[in-house]
Amino acid sequence: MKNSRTVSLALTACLALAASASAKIKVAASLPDLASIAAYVGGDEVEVFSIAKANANPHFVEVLPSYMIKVSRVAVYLKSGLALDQWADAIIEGSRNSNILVEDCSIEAGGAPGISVLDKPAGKVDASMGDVHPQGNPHYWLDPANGPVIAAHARAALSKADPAHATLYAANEKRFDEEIAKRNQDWHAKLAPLKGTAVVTYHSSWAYFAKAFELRIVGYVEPFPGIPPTAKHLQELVDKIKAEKAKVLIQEPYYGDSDPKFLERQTGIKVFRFTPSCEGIGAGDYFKHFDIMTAGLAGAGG
Amino acid sequence: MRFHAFFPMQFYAFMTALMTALVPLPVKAGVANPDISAIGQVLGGYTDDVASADAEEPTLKLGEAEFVFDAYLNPFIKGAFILSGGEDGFALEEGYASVVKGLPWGLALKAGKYRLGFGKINSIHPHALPFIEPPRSARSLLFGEEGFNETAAQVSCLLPTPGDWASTLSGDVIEGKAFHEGQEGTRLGGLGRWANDFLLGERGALETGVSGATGVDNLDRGSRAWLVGADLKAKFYLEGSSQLTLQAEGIFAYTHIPDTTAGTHAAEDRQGFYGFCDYRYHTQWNGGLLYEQWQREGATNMTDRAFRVFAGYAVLEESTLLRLAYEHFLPEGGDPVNTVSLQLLFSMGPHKAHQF
Repeated sequence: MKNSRTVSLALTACLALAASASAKIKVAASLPDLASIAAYVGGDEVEVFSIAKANANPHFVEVLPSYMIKVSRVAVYLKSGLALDQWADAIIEGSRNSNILVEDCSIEAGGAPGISVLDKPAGKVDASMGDVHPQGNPHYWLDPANGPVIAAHARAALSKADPAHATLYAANEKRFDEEIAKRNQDWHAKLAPLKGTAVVTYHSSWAYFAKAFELRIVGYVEPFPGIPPTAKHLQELVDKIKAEKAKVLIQEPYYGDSDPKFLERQTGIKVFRFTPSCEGIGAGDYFKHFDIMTAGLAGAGG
Repeated sequence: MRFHAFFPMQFYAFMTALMTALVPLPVKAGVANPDISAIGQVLGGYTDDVASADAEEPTLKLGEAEFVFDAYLNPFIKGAFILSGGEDGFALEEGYASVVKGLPWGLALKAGKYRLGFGKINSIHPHALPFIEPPRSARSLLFGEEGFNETAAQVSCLLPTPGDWASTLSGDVIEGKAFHEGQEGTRLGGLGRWANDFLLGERGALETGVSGATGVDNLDRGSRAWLVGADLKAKFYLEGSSQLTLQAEGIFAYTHIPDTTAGTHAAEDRQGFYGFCDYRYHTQWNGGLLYEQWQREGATNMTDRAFRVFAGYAVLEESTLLRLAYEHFLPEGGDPVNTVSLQLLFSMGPHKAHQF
């Protein structure tokens, strides 16, 4: 009798543990940065994962059925929007998840603000301009000031999916905003010597980062977005780097090294390889990414 | 009397159509044109195949072009039309509607004419392959150049599986015409596929599948044909944007070969397979090897073989591709055939997601 009671108690405890574990709100995000911010806002109540990896080009993510099955189990999907993660639509569609709440973090909706979009093309957009995003530059998470916008979207989506913890999500969002404001001061202090410095970037991923830290982008390794450089373009860029006295070239790790190294040899410009997204999806990983980038660039001012 | 009754109906139908065309409809929010993509190709070649009209002469021609129209019809259903052809006209290659949302238990529905999901290569349009022509073995065992492409209705289900394992079960009722091409009448057939996908850590993905299809290959005798296949595809994501793809597929066919002179209707078992590896260096270059062998139709004691080397170069990005292939074809009992092919593939329209 005593044994059976012990067994039933143990079973009840196991079930309770299992229930509490399964009660977590599952969140998928297109990018590690959105996942990291959702992990901060959701705290212990959420389980997050990202489809794109930090070291892979976020424009081209292959639609794998394994992503679909993972997304079939989530309550919330955070999209980066601005036509960067168009592949997410095929994953969400393939997941056959009718109850999923899809939140586009770039647009104003549900009490969350939108992004002040940079590089929005005027007039007709076509492929003669390269792989231009018609709605503007989509790499907005690289400005720490846009972190709170993403956090507001994460809070809005989580509160809809799990109203019971809406207060907690709102409190975590407030904590996130305060922490990023404080850290942003440190990052700005680190990069203060670089203010106004001429920089070159491989792709137009760094427009928001440059604006945030008052760096001056004077050229791109790509002649047009998504188009590999020609010899003529590289020679023109060498002249520009020399004329503008550009000291920094920022390159994503998924592009080849040869062209940046050529520019380095020709001009002495220093090449920095940064992933455009944070390496992890934990609550503090979004901050760590800026720690790494600002620490890396800090010495380039001298 | 019948004429008078018929004429007004035609007249009203015409007037309604005319009014619809002339009177601008109020613009509805959110209603837009479908996505339109077009894919064209220019093909050059040289072969020493004596059976070819262009043996040992270089050739240049416009290859098959493709127009794709696709859009959501409403929040739950998507539609697509794919027209293909060339200078001699266009034909509807595919036209289907799919219910992609709103169904319970991970179900999805699809109906229309489409390249059937038998194996891994049949449902893929040739321009999306890493080489110019689909493997000869697949063409020989799966109904020729156009592949296994029929009017069908499909139910598919995403099975509940743990972790990253995605398991999809699908069943199609098919028109069955491919099995009895050229005969009067039709008899429905069936197709089933079970595909399993896994992530191989952070840097790889694997898909394995088994497929089976059946249909009547002689309507007078009611004889049934069977196709069974197994396939495997693995992809490894290497440094930068480089990738390595390994893919293989085996097909077994049980059909009947009529011999009108002897008055016999003999059963025939045939099998074949292909395997290839494709290495993609960053996003611009790719190169690989393909080997295949299959038993010849009507002469199963003869096994034909082919070996290919292929390479591709995306001129700037993926919209303009140059491809080169060399094939050494070894028909059993015949002379080897060497063919060199060159392709310029160009595409315009929205960039769609890259499917595994």
